[in-house]
Amino acid sequence: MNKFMHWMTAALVAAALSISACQPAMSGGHAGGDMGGMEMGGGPNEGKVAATVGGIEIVDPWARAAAMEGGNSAIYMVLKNTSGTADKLVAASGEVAAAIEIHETKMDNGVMQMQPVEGGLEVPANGSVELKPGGYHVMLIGLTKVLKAGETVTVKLTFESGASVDLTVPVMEPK
Amino acid sequence: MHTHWRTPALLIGGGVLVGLAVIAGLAFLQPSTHVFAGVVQPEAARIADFTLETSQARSVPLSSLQGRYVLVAYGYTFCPDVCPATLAMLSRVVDSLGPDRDRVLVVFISIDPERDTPERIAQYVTGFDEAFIGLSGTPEQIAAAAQPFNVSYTRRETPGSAAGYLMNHSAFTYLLDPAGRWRVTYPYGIDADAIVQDLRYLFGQAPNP
Repeated sequence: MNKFMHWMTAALVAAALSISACQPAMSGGHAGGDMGGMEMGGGPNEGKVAATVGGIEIVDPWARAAAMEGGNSAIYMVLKNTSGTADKLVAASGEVAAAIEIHETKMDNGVMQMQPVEGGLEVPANGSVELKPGGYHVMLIGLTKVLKAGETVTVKLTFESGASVDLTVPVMEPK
Repeated sequence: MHTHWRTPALLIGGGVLVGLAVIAGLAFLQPSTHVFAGVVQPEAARIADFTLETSQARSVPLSSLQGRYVLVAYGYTFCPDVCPATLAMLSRVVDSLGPDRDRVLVVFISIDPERDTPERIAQYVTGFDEAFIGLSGTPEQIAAAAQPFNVSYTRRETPGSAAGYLMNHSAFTYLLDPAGRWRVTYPYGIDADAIVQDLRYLFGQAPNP
């Protein structure tokens, strides 16, 4: 190795850096990315426990703003089980919608599929389950009012353990 | 002994640097280096025209929207999750364009004509942006509108759910250029900024007269 080689290496590295720096910033990095990491997820990731019910912590709940009365929307959150016993979110109810159900969206080769979660949504012992856009959600069917960002809605969540909680959920526009 | 080669090495090294700097500069100036955020159609071609209905009981052939870039997405108002996420993303796209937002139309086509009247789909999409166009039609019209992009949609009965039935459907966003040619396909979950970058690039290719 001599100084000439150092020079060449430095020059090539510098040039390569400047070329890549000159490329438009866009890349296809998001294409086909997994849905979990997408920025559309929107909700604040503050990790704030909004309520505790039995051994379950309800973290960062939010409802998607929706402009159409009679339309649908969804509530998202993280359910964290601090106990050694598995539990299930089995029901949700409230006055905000004609019906409230637990659903799952799946993406299969670009085709969106949504279905009710049969038998409740499992929250594993000492584990957690995330309700998020493009995945599990509490589905609000037939909104009784327009959901505006900044407002809150109240839903009652019931778990298999028998415990339930009236949860106040902020309405947000996903960023 | 070092001095014997230091000068030529510096000259060669310097020359290489200058050469590479020129290449880098050319790469910067050469617009074809733009990497689209979606899947680019190998050949930009006009798609088969179709006609749908708007809320004002007006029939709109897709071709009548030519003259602007058109972002087309398919979905249904009953969709609580993926469709609003896509429409919220598209409203961020037009917001980011600022004064150039008039160069782009956003069209949302229902694949659930049974529930989505033209009025209902229009009310739904204008909740995201007043300029968005919601279109529906008869099942035959929807089938014709799904064909050019090979959009798949199927009805799934959901007994035991208040939903009654749900629709499985393709969740891509398609970009047409002002000549009505299909250029790019974006997957669900794409960043609004990524589409804005592509549009700005295309605007630069064909500046507004």
